[in-house]
Amino acid sequence: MSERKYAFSWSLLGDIAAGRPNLGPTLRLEVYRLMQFCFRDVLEKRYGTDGVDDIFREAGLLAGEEYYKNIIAPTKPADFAALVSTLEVSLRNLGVGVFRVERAKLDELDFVLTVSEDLDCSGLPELGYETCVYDEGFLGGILKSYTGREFKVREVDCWCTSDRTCRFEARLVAE
Amino acid sequence: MNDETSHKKPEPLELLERLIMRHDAPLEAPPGTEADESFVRTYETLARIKNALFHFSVSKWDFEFTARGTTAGYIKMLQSNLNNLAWKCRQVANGDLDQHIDFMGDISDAFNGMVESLKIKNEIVEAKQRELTAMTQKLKNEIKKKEQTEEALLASEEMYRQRSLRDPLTGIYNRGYFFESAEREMESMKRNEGAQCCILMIDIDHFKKFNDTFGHPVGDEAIKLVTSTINTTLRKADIFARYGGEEFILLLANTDIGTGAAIAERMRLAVFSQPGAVPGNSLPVTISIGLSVVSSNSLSLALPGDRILKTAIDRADAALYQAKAMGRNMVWIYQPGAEHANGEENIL
Repeated sequence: MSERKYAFSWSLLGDIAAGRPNLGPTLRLEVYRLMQFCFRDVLEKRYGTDGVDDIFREAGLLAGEEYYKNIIAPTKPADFAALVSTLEVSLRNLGVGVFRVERAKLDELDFVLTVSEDLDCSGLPELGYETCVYDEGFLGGILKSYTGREFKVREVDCWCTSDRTCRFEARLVAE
Repeated sequence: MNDETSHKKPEPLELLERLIMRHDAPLEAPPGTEADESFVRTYETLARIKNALFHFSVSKWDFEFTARGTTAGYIKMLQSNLNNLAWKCRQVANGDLDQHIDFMGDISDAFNGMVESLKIKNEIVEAKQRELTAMTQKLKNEIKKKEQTEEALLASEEMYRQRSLRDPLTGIYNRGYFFESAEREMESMKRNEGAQCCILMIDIDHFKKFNDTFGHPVGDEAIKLVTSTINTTLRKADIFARYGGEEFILLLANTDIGTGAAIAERMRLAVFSQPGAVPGNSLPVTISIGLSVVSSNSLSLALPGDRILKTAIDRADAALYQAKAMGRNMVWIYQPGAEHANGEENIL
């Protein structure tokens, strides 16, 4: 690709105050899900199930890195606990979900993280498989930005597998 | 009970009841039920839930829980809450008092209340620490001020002490200090076999005439010139003092008669070589020196230091008298029999 049309830039989020003086920054979650699951549908038909999962995971990774750069980094988290606090507050304020740490082995960089009331899946019908591949990438992007290391983040419990909270295991990728 | 009832295969519901009611029920579906997949799935999910509840009952909630389904989901939610609560508590223990918990009902309220209370107490402690630090600093300042005052007092005391020991015109020691120090030197010599010292009486020649001719201020300059010149020839252990008027006294410590005479001669020449104390007048200032020696070998140990000193001074004075009589501007060493009529005893 010689010249890209859709290279991401934080400025693409736009000036919402100017652009939506009456409606503001929020929308109904159903609309977001409508868009996301339609994307999945169309992408799956073109690229297969694994292909669409990879695309969502990769997009999540990019989003996580951008989120860290633009939302987290300015707060200069002094340590992992400060990072967690900033994530908890910002993700909740933005209505993304209730982010929490279940376990953190800092010496091994091995984490169990949960997101309840998740933007992508909470309230979905039971599907028998985990759907939050975008979240896997997103959390991986945050951890990569914070530690400078690659992480493999895997969702082990999801609303769509009848669980109340989405649980993610994040482990360092062997270098 | 007949054979038929005793070997009756348990019904699925009976197996499930046993799983729920008895602690020794197996956690895997009992043999013989494999064909009923739905039963096996239900039995094993229930067994995992039972196992999870057992872990909760012994406060061990960091266990692996793989069951699926809504009921299992509730347990996972509880497990997640408890693990997060433990994480939050650890953060508080590490000093992070910005931790906050939601979605856990009374536990959230209790935790958040506890953290707020800790924060308030922490602020009180920090305020007390600041107060204590300020008080400590104030105390340090006061101590420093007191030390400075004490130092100033000591310096002032030392200044006054020095003034009481020194001659105000020349800055050299006065007669009182000379006697005090010289007597100590005499006592010290009594303890050191072979020790010697010299006593020098020094007088500015024709000083009365000098004063009458040039006036007292110029006379004072002459006195200062002589003392500063002599001072340049002395060692640290020597004791040099103004004896009175134009007369000075000097104790040369650890000095035999030959060395004492050489030093005295150097002093005389040094004063003589000065350009003079009178502005525009080359008239030199000269001094006469009388010298006596004190030797520990000839000291009578029974005599007190002041008595020995007095004799030595009298002898040096007698020698000075001889120097004056012989024409001034010279050093005269005491020779026995040269005393003028003061009835001095031969004790040295």
